[in-house]
Amino acid sequence: MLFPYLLRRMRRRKKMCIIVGLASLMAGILVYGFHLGVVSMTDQIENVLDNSEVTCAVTNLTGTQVDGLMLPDWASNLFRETTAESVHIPTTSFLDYVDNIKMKFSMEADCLNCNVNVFGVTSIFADRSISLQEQSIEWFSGFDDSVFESDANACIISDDLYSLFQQSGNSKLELTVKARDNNNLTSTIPLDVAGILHGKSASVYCPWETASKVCLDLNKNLSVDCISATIIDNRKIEEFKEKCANIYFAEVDPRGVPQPWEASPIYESYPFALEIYDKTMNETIATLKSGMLIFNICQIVIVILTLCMGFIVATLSIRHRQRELALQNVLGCSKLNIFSEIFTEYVAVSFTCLAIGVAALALISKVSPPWFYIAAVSAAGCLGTVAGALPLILNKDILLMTKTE
Amino acid sequence: MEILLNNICFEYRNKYRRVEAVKSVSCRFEAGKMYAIMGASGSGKTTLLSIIAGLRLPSSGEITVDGIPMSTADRCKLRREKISVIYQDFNLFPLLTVIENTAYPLLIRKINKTEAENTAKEKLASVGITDDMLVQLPRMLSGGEQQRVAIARSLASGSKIILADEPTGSLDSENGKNIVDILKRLAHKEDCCVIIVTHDPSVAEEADVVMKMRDGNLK
Ligand SMILES: Nc1ncnc2c1ncn2[C@@H]1O[C@H](COP(=O)(O)OP(=O)(O)O)[C@@H](O)[C@H]1O
Ligand SMILES: [Mg+2]
Repeated sequence: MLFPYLLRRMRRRKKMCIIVGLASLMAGILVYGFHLGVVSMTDQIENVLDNSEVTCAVTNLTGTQVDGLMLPDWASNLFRETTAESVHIPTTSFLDYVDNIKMKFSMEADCLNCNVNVFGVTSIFADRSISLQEQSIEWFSGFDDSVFESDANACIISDDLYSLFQQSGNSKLELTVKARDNNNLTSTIPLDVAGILHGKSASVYCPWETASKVCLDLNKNLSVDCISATIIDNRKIEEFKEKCANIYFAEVDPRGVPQPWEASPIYESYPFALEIYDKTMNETIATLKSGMLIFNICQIVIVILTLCMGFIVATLSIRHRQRELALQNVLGCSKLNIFSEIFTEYVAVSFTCLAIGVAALALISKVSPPWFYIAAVSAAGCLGTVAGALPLILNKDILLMTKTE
Repeated sequence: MEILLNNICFEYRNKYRRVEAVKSVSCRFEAGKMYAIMGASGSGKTTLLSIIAGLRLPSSGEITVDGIPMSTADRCKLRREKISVIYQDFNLFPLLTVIENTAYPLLIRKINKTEAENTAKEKLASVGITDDMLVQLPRMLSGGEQQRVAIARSLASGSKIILADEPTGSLDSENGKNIVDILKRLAHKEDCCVIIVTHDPSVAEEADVVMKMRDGNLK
């Protein structure tokens, strides 16, 4: 028998055992509880990353997204299938990172003897001045928003133009587009009317492909009004910035000072910015992460408290049983033996209770236990006991019988 | 079996003072005799006894047990097998029964439990502890009975050197005499070396050799 009648003698230290037991139980439950908090916050972060819709848009340097930015056509090419003729072939395609791209450019044209604005769009919502609360679209049968992704000769016109169109009795809308610098250079396209836009005037919306072909024929270049898109995978925003955005666009400069931008391979004098609207998502994630940090700190605090508990309990318990230890010493137990008895006692009580706490929470929560912190709590308790007990036991006089109290 | 003390000195040293509790003590203790060490309180008796028990090492001088120097011996083993100490009180584990207390020294020597308890029972009977007391806790026993259990434990462990520090100090004279008689019997019949520290002259009378201790000197 290594420690004769250990359990029996432990009954003399009932209070101490209860304190150690309860403290270990609490430590186990708290460490586990905080772990559950961390797990749930991790889940929430994943959730936010999965479900937030982060958009981005090409803006001027102040980050303001305005119409008439006159973006060069290389900018729009980045967001389209890169063509062989394009001189600016991106190293990594923007299309790997974004979708739901909306672009718009505008030209002037004559139609039904009126001056109208013609917009080439990839979706009717590329025009941010259209909101369905104020305007409404009446689609003719067989058409919907996907018509703007095609190269069909179709268009949506504002209701004032539609009434003129009905009066003319034509089956197609004849659009005469003028070159920007030369009013004599024109090109006429016949368009089917796919729908009516109520609430606007003198506007014609055509599919990007159809309109841009005409524009490039007449002007040899194209100035984009606006480009916006949705990030496909919110986890890859940094990668997108590094591999795409930062190569072709400047960072938003809050002062809005245009600066020569040598870094741009394609556009030297006036950089555009690509702003990614991830601020709200990042703030949400940062809040969750700081919550996680607090939970982690709590776990560390519990580990430290367990260390203190081990230390204090060992110190008190040795003082409390000083005469019993002296008796053991007189009977020939070695210091090592006496120390291991105290240590065993602590380990037996605290590990049992810790295990009970952990097992209970594991059953209730069905989340796998925080092994690292459980090990840390166990180790801290043992370390505290060693630190508390060893110096006292090695002390010369503690194992000697003192006078009657 | 003999204990030799050669110029033993012991000094307590702490922040406030230095006390020379034992000053150059030389003497010899042998088996089969009962020794009494007398002296006023504070004269260094307990200190000397702790040195003989191997609980303290002398500041200078040498002590040998059967020719083996105490300083190099395994002192724990010595106390497990050869030397027992009986104090005035708190000799027994409060939550162990009489028989468990008696068997304890055998159990720490890894002797099997039944064997240990049989030995314990036998030795308890030899000091007059009745069977109905075996499973009682020390606090249910009288002071004299507790001292007898402590003596039985020394016997069970097989010690031939029995050191008693005022074993009768908290007993009435009748019980005290009873204890001294048992110790005397051990010295004479069992060939033990018994050293009793006391300041009771009636106890000293029973001893074969009486030594006087004064201010750390033994005469
Ligand atoms: N642990 C100690 N630290 C310092 N001095 C001590 C200690 N124990 C005893 N002394 C001193 O040593 C001297 C001898 O003490 P002790 O051996 O207990 O005497 P006795 O047992 O004869 O009464 C006394 O003066 C006492 O004050
Ligand atoms: Mg004394």
